[in-house]
Order: sequence, then structure tokens, then C-alpha cells
Amino acid sequence: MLPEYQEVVRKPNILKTRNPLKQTNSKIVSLEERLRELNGYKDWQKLVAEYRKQNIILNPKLRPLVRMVKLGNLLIDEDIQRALDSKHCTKKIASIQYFDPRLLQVVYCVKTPGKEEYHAVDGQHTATTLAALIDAGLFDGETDWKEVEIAVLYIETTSKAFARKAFALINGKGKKKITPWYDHRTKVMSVRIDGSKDTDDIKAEIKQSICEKYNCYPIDDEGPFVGKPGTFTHMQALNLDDDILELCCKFHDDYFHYDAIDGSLWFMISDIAKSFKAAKIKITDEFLKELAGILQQYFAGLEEFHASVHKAHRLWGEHTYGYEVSWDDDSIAAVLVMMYKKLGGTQQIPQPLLDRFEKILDFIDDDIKDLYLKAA
Amino acid sequence: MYFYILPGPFRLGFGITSNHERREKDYTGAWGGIAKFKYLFEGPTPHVKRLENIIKDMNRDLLWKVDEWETEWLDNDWTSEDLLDFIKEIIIERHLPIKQIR
Repeated sequence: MLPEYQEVVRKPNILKTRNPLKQTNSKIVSLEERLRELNGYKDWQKLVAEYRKQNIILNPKLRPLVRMVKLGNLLIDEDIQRALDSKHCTKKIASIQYFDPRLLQVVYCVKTPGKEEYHAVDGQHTATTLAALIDAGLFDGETDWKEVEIAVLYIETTSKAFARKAFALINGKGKKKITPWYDHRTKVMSVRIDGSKDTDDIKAEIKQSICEKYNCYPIDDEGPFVGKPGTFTHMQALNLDDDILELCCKFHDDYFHYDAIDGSLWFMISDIAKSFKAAKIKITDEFLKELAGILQQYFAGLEEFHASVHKAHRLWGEHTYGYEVSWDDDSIAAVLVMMYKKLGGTQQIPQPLLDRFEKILDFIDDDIKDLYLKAA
Repeated sequence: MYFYILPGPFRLGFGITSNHERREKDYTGAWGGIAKFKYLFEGPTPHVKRLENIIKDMNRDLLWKVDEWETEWLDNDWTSEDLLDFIKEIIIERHLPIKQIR
């Protein structure tokens, strides 16, 4: 007999008011406010105390300077910078679809003291692409690329070792990376605050709205909301088709609104939806509730179900093939519907979902097997 | 699988184990005094693991941290009974098949 899903009292979701993507007006804060925030941070205070303890005094003259520099004065050290990626210049930077001169970035350079020589440590692709566009006569009124100036941020030193470290720093280590969530946030806010009509921005905003409709919230995996009910950090979920994303979010909100969203949700529901669609079988609310009953009663939700399937898949692979096979997320939906059938579920299931991982149920933990074998 | 509440010499601890007698001895050996779980629960592995994760998720700010390492000791002034009440509430609210055995 199938275990019955039991309602869990719904509590107000804190993300409803604290969702970082909720605002539709831009909020501006002064640098002074940011300074106050950082000065109030305990670890920052410890760091400053350590500077003082070590008598470290910083030289203001070592800060980088900014200047407009002629493109003809830029040099590229091949032993520091990567080789030119012509495809990147052509397909990305200068592509007709995306190129906008207003988005050109500053070139990071090391200047040779006493000479008008600027060694680019970052930005060679930008500078080369700009020079080539001018050279091709595509900039109005400009013909000699060598005479055209570009914004350069530079420090003066003769040390190549320093230039090499600067390149590594700018290109990775030491720089806070833009997370996929932040990228999504930029698109959503571009629509909500600035009214962007960009297709990608609009698509992101539609996905965000689908999530919010069902109290689901994409969040930054380094932020303060990790683990809160309805949140998820698996940003690839936003690549799902709108109808599947909606089905996933609705399922979570209907049955597991009290938990954070586990990554298995997206694989499980999308595999079920695609298989049912291909077999022309309708997914009913009753069927979804029955699945939720199994997940809730036997696994206390998706997180532990996910962990159990991982373990069963590993053991099943070793038993079937004699070695540890790589993880296959298709097994998530398969285990659930196989268990559903074993428990006497009457919903017709597309056969491919039942065939691929034959006998995997034998490798589910014994205390779970005890629960469902008793019920079956 | 078991879930335990352990009043420690400095803070209130909690955790899960498949062998609670052995785990008690581990604590005793580590801190040089008799450790005894004040409250003990038993249930299927996924549910007990879930219970532990719920406590961590809901009280993340209250977990004692050593540098960046998040421990299973509560760094607030909760008594064993405060945590016990919290757990009982979660078990009822989430319909977890977990029973108190001590």
C-alpha cells in the first residue's frame, strides 16, 4: 500500500519579504554606509588590529593610476599573457549582436618607468579587437588605430615578476567571481528596475516570476539564505523549459514547502514530465501526491531520498558491472517510480522509466526496504 | 539510527549515530569525564539524518564555529530541555517516524 502524504502546517516564507530580487525600485547607498558596514564586521576589526600590531604602514604612491593611452603604445608580453584567442575576439567581443563601445573595459598595464611603454597584463583581447575595428574603418572618423586612446589602469615597475602576479590576480585568484546567481540577478533587475527589453533579461525574469509564484527562490550559495525553505542554489534549474520549471516549483510548494529545494527535484520532475509526455500519459495531481507520500514517509523529503539513490546507484553499479559506474541522475526518477509500482501504485508508468535500472531497489538501505516491503 | 542530545562541559551537543553506546564512550574518552546522552531518539536513517539537518539549517547562526568549521555544539544558552522541546515539535510538525527512547 502506498504511504499517504501528510500535510505539514504552512508557515510564512521569510523569503517572501526578504527576497533579494523582489525590489522594483533601485536602492542607492553611499560609500559611507558601506564603510560603516565593513567597519562593524568583527573579522575586519581583527584584521585592522593585526596591521597595527605588525606596524604595517601602506605607501599611498603605490596605488594604481589611470590614464588615456594611445593603442600604439601598448605592448603584450607573450610570456605573461595568454596567446591571442582570435575566435574570442570575433565571436564574443566584436559580435554584431553584443558589441557596444560603451562596454569596453579598462586595460590593466605595467608601465616601464621613464618610458611611454605600457605592458598589458589584462585586456589584450579588448585592445586588439578595438584596434582591429578601427583598422577596418568601422569607427566613424577614425583611421589610424595607433593614435586612438584607450583607458589604462597602470602601475609603474620594472619587475616582470610583479606583472606576472598581477595577471594571475586579475584573472582569478584574489578577485570575487561573479556567481551564476549574481548573473541571473543582474538580468532580473535589469527588467524589474530598468525595464530592459533584452531577450535574455526577459527570459530570466519570466523564470524568476515562475519560481516566486510558488514560493521558490534562487539564492546565492554564499549568501545568508542557504537552507531556508523554498530556496535553491542549483542555478541550472533556470535552464529548464518554463512548463517543467513550473511543475517542479509547484510540486515543491504543494508538498515540501517547509524544506529548502534539493537539486534532485529538477532531475526527478523533468525526467518524469519528459517520459510521460513522450508516452502521451497525463501526469495527474493524485499521482504527484502519491509520489510525495513516498518521499515524505520513507525518506523525510528529497534530500535524504537523493542521498539514498546515490548510494543505491553506486552499489547497484558495482554489483551489475563489477566496478563503480559514474553517477547517472536519471536514476532519481527511476527509483521513485519503481518504488511506486512496488508499493502497488496504479498510475501507468512509461516503460523506459522502469527498465533502465533494473534491480536497483535491491540496493536501497535496509531500514527503508523494511518500511516499504512491510507496506507492499 | 539514533539521535542524541548531550549536555557537554562547555556547550550543548547533538548528533546521530548507529551505535549510541560506542559514541558515548568516544565522548568520554575525548573529554576525560563520563559522557551520557540525556535524551535519545530512534528512527529510520533518512528521517534521523533529516532531523539533524533541520536543526542545523534552522539554527545555523547558533552553531559553535571554530574558525570556519561548523561544529555540532549549540553556542546559545539552550538547555537540553529547550532542544528536546524543539525536536519534539519538529517530529510532530513533519510527521517523522522517530521515537524518544530515553
